[in-house]
Amino acid sequence: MDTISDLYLEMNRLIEAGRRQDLQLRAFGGLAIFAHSQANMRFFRRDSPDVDFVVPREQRHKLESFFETMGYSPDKQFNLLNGMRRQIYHQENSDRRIDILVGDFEMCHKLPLDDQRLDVDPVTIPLAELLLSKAQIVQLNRKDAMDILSLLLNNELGRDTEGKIGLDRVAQLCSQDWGLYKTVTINLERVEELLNTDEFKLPVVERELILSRIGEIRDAIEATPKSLAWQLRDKIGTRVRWYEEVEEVDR
Amino acid sequence: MTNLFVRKATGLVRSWSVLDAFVYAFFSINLITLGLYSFSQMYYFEGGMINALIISAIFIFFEVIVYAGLIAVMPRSGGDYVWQSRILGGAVGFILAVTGWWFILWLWVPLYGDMFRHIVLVPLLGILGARDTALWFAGTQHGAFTASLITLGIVSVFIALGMKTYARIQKFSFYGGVLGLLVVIILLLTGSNAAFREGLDANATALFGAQPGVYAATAGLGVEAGAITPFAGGALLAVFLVMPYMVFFNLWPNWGATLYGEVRGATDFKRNISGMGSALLVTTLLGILLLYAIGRTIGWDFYVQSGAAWWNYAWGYTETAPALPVWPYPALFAAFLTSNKFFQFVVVALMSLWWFGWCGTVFLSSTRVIFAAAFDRLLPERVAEVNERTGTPVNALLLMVVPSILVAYLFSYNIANFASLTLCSTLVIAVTYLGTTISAIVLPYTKPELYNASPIAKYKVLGIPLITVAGLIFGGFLVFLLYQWLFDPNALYGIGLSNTNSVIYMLSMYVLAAAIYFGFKSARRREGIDIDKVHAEIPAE
Repeated sequence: MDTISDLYLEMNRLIEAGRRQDLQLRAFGGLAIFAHSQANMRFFRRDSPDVDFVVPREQRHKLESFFETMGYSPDKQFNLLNGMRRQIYHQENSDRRIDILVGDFEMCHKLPLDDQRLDVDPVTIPLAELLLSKAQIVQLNRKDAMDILSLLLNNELGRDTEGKIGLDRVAQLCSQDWGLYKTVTINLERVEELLNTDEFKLPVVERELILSRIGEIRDAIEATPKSLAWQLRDKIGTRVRWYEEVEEVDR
Repeated sequence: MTNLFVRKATGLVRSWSVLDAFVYAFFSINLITLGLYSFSQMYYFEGGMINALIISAIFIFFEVIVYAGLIAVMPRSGGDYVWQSRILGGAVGFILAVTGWWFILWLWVPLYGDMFRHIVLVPLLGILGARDTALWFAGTQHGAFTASLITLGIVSVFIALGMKTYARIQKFSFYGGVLGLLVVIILLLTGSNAAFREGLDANATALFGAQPGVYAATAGLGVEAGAITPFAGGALLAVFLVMPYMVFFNLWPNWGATLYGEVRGATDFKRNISGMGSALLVTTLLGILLLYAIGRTIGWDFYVQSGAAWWNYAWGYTETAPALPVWPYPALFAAFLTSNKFFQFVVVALMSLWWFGWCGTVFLSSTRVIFAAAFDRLLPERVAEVNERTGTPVNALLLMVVPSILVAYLFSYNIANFASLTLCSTLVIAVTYLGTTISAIVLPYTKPELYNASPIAKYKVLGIPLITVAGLIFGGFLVFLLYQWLFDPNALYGIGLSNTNSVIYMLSMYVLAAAIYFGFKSARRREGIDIDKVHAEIPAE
């Protein structure tokens, strides 16, 4: 089994090779969290995370030839049926798998990534979207919650051009999409509850830091003006499903 | 930590929602294209149209149970092919699936093209004042063939756009088309027969150059052609004899079966039932309402007579051309109740969305069967490749498009009496469905582990698995249909054993499928691949 360091090296190798071929690969998922949690690895617990990338939609046609040159073969059946939005590649003679989202990040909720957002960080999707990629998961599991804690512990809130979690972006996206707002606020609450258990023997400073950042995010979201459509959807509430159903790849 | 979930890997949002699958099913039993087209041809039956519509829908509901069950057990792209090849064996699965989901769709192309010209091109061109072009499309073989070629172009573009974009087109067409239908029904329910006669005579003359007195002349030709089909009633046997024609329209709520590998929540049996079943229910109810509205203002007898006048000439039973030189399209008739050209155009344009939302069904489901067979190595791998730049399955499309051009040519120019083969399009698919239905009947007994682990295992009727019971009922219905089509004891359908061309055409498809199967199986064996072992495993999705 690959170690996290092996996978991190491989992720960077692919991103660098992509850059040389004008292919803008940006990581999300466990390795991206790892990349942004170097200062304090308290919450980062992974044995062998997937290698996950987002690629701009217009570069989709480059993927197959690129990954073949990098020693990967496509999951032809999966890519045939889903390749406009999602592709999978397997490394030959190993169990290493690359998962690629094409265009926007779309799971329980959609995080648009077309508007130059992939230029913000040279390795991963921007921190704001990385945080939301975890906070948008309706069926948040323990690992996802730990990833959110890890990001909030290691990264300041502020402007994403300064390498911080883009508070404006988080607030903007949640204020445009009521469904995303709902899931994110539910999950921030879950993370708060988790943090307030006795499970983690966190120094008070660290606990307070994370709690204050959660509060800051919540305040920013609430303070951002909402459209009429958002407000109407808010009236309907959770009586109508507010998220997309996500399934396992192998069902 | 009770409020956190257990979830495995990075998830996947599949292309289609259950609503998308419903709309696909709704359009697959398309009341305006398939429905009105076949109703107009069914002018010589003694059984009531409404009775046949309702009774056939009841039988077809059991088809919905069969397919919803199989989808829940194995939600795989390729549908019938995957189920039959894994339950009944590779040879049966391949031969029945590729004939029913691939080869016979070549014949559907000129039928889609025929509906395109009658429902979209001719009425819109007529209202826009392009009388000569409208009549060229309506009444010439060149026009029919051209309509098929345009159809192929539109469908190819839709397939190239991918499932998700096609779902958007369908949804737009659904809302617009239903709005158009409601307007048509309101026009028909609020109009009068006198106003209709006046509107028909005035507009048919002005738009299409018909001679004055078109109403009476059409009625007369219809009577001569033997138009007798009643709105409702008739003996039970007479009603049953209507159904082999009726199912040309409504046998297809399961048309998305091959796509369910790309539908969210497809392992949920109840959702599948509600998607396909509600499409069947809504379409049947709309059908009853529309036919009632037609009878109220156009007049049932005239409606049947106008269809008889058109098809009696089109099928070559008379030399007398119909007085109305365009296909009798009830939505156009409804639009004739108003003299406002813009309003007429809007109504017919909205109704044309029933064709645009539906036309992709001719190939979309088929491509998944071709892909599944290619992944099983029964076709060249290249067949399942997409163009890197456009994402279009070019080779699979070519396998659909190129033979379709030939068949459309034969059909449009009625070479070898091809125009008489309309119902072959339904017969061959019904044979495929029978194979799938037998798979469903035996599934709990031949694959007990798979069945017992599925969400449908809990549904039983008197201790017998629901899927088996539903399969027996629907299978009986299919056997009745096949008997009527093939032996045709009352000479009603014209595609049976007495029609040599029909038999040769259908048999040649099964021979071609068998040749491909055994040819590839043998070639793969030489490459060290055992196709039987491939079919022994459930494919990953």
